[in-house]
Amino acid sequence: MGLAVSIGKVTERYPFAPVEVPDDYRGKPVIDPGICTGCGACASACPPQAIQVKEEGEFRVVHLFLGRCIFCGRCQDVCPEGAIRLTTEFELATPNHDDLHQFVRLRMVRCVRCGRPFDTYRHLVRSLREVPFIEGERLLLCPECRAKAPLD
Amino acid sequence: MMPELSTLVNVAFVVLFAPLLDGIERRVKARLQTRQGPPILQSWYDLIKLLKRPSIEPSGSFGWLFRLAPAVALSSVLLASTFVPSLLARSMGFWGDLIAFVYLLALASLFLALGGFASCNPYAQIGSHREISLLMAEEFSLAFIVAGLAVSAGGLAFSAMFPLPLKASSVVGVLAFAVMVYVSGARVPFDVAEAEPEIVEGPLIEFSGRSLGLMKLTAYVRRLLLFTVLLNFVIPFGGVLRSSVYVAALLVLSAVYAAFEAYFGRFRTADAVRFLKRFAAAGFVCWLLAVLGW
Amino acid sequence: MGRSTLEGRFRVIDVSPDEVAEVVRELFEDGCYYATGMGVDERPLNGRFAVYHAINCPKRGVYVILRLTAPEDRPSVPSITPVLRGAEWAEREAHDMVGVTFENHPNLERLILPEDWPDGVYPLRKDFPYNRKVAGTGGTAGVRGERHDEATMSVPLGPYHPLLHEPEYFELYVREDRIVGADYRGFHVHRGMEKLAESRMTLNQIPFLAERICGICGCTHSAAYCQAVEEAAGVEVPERALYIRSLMLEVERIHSHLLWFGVACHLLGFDSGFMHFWRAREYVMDIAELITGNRKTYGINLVGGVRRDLSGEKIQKTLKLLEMAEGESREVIDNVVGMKELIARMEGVGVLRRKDAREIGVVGPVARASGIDTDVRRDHPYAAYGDLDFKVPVYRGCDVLSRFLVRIDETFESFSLVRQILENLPDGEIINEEYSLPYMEFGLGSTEAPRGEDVHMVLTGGENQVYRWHPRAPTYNNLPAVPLMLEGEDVADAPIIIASIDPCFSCTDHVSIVDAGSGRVLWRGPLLEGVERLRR
Repeated sequence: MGLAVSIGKVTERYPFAPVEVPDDYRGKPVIDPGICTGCGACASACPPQAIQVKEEGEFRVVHLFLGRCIFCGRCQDVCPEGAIRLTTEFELATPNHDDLHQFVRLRMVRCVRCGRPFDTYRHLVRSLREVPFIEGERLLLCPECRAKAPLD
Repeated sequence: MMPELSTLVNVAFVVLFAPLLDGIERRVKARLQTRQGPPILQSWYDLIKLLKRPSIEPSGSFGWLFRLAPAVALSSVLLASTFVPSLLARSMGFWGDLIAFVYLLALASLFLALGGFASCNPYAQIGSHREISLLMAEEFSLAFIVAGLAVSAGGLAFSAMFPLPLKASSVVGVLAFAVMVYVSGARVPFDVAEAEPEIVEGPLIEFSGRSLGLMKLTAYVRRLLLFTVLLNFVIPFGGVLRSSVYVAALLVLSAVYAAFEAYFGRFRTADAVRFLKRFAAAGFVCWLLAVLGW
Repeated sequence: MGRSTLEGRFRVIDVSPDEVAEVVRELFEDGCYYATGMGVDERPLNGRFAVYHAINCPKRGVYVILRLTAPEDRPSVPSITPVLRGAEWAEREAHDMVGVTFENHPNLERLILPEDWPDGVYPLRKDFPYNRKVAGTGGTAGVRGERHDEATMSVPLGPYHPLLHEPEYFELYVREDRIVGADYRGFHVHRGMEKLAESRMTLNQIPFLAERICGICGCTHSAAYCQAVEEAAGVEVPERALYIRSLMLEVERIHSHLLWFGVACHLLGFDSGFMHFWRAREYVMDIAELITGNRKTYGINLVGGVRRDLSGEKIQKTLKLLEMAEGESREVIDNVVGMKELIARMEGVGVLRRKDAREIGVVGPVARASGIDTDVRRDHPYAAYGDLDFKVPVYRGCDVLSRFLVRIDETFESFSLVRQILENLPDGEIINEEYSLPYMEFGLGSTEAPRGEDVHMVLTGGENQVYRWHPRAPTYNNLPAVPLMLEGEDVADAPIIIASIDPCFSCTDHVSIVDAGSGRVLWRGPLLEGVERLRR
């Protein structure tokens, strides 16, 4: 095969030289803790349930575990704020387990009536964009208490 | 230099250089496949790794034969390397050493096959079965070629045949021998016994660690010795020039044979045997020409 | 704007146990064949078990789904295997996983679950929680070997074998260098995907699970699933999305066939061919990575359309890569086809006669190499195939060489298809998410995967879920033909014969079908005859 002579070697120099991937290559997802509202849409959409949203006292914790991630990018698709993005990083092997976990801790608002933490501050503020202006204390009521409270 | 000392040098050379030739063959094949390929010393690295590891004997195998086979195989080829002039022209040759050479190499192949049978693994048994079939067919062709060359050279000792007189029978014989060297080295399309995807490395499947290392070294030495005999048939001079030409020619031969190998698919056993039987005709022609004095 | 590709694609007919055999016989005589079947535990809905038999009628462009039900206290229906051989495995699977009995089935043994699985425990029943762990009964696993004389050596091929890319187990009965019989046992890679999807996954998570049924043909599985749901829910998928789907399906076909050519060369001892084919294939992987963001797990399908669009720039880059891929593939193929020793090892080897092929219900290149003119893209047009121009190669050699030639032709047809798609990509949306999911609606999606017809059946559930999901990969239908192809052949040819169906055990196994005993019925006759003949 004169083919071989004309082509030369196709072996790439990786790992001794970097490998190029397209800009929209689906690599490691990263949550921007400054944008995330803790709404949990990503967790619902994630097929392997690599993202879990839990409540720990005052905080809502969004936990992304790369060990389960399939790099599909559904989280990125559904996030209303664009807080989670897939980077092009694919060299994820590590001897350190902690590298595979990302935690975003978001402080929660307590209901002024029943005292239960019911939403993150950030999400509450964001949701004001969508709902009509709510006066005063009604804002700080959890959904159950708000439903029971008399309308002014 | 005393024959004993030069023999020692030759044996050392053969053992050290053989894996290097394999490395060259692997590299050439890789480049023909547009790959980078392993470094030329890789076969040495692999051998060293294997020799450091323990051999595991399968339960249910014929332990004594399984352990004996690699030792006998390697000893046979090393013994052959004592009287085949390789790096240095002088060695301990004797009358009939050509025949001894052919049979020592056959003995090594035989013990490869026996080792396979001894492991009692069905794949090894199929592989050994194939190895024996191929061996018989090879010997048949080789017999004619050797006979022809002996008649042509006027003697059965290497000393008489290195180099061969320039005659028609020699030319035919050497070319035929060159083909046999290719076949005997278990190169594709003749690697029927070792067919990796079909029968998982055949006779060698149960060998591991040191035993596997010895078997592989045997195979490498065998190839080198066959090249050596072929080259000895044609290199007409001696001394340092001979040694340098010899080494250079070895490198070239390895590269050329590897290039050929990259081009073929594997034969079925029956097809390989058929080819060899037909090829015996070439050996017959050589013998006939030699007998006629040509 | 959009086009529902699913109009009149299938018809679900409730049949009574008395008439089912007759109906099946008529359909077979009309040129139909058995596509797949599933058992469903419908007790929470109506107190009954149901069996759905999907029969592919290519001439009429429709799948006829025969539905049988049985009461809870007596979950038993008549088997249709005596009439239609191709139903054997599906019925065994339904029996194994759902616990429906099939009367007069010739060999109702376990197919998927391991031998030491306790009796009476049926994982796909709705009262079996998906995360329940079951202890083995301590029985012995292993193939029940055929009895042979001493001259016959049994050569095990698997479950782990360097020549195999997935675990499976073939037991070859060999006399010197000839195969006198073969047994198959598979389903080592059963992963319980159906149960998983039915229990804790949502509608749009399942395409990602489906994609991972197979590492080579994932896109076709996610597409078939989405199509099944789209059928059931009557979703109008936008045209642009249909074109993009077809694009990725054809890209997948090309990569799969080039992979196969490489493997075939390797098995025939021609490693250089393997290297060159896979080098050409790299361009195709680059195309996939460019368009979808990953070389293989495209993740492009969702119910209602696709997730990623194609820019003009990407189209240009793709066309360039395509040209390189096509040119290099052609060069390597021309070389290989000119190698007499390779062709000789494929010609007349691994023969599957047309009659057997039809009865077993083989699909894809295996069927087309045995003279059966069938292709889901043409017979049941889906995605954009109704608009596209392509030939369906059919060869009559019935041997490994014919299967090789069919795939060569298909590869170049696919190159042409990709170009047609890129040149005629319609404008518009790429997804339609405005639909509501009906409850307990049946849907069937089928695609022509690289290996043949891939069928997914779905029963929708409430709350963004599915009640029942049954994928059936093409290799499932092709495997029963392998022992027939192996019998009488040289053992050296076994790998290339097995490989000639382009087996995808991961695809087959997700359904989990096990036990050598299954295949035994299909070839017990010839096997014994073979041994007898040689003994004389």
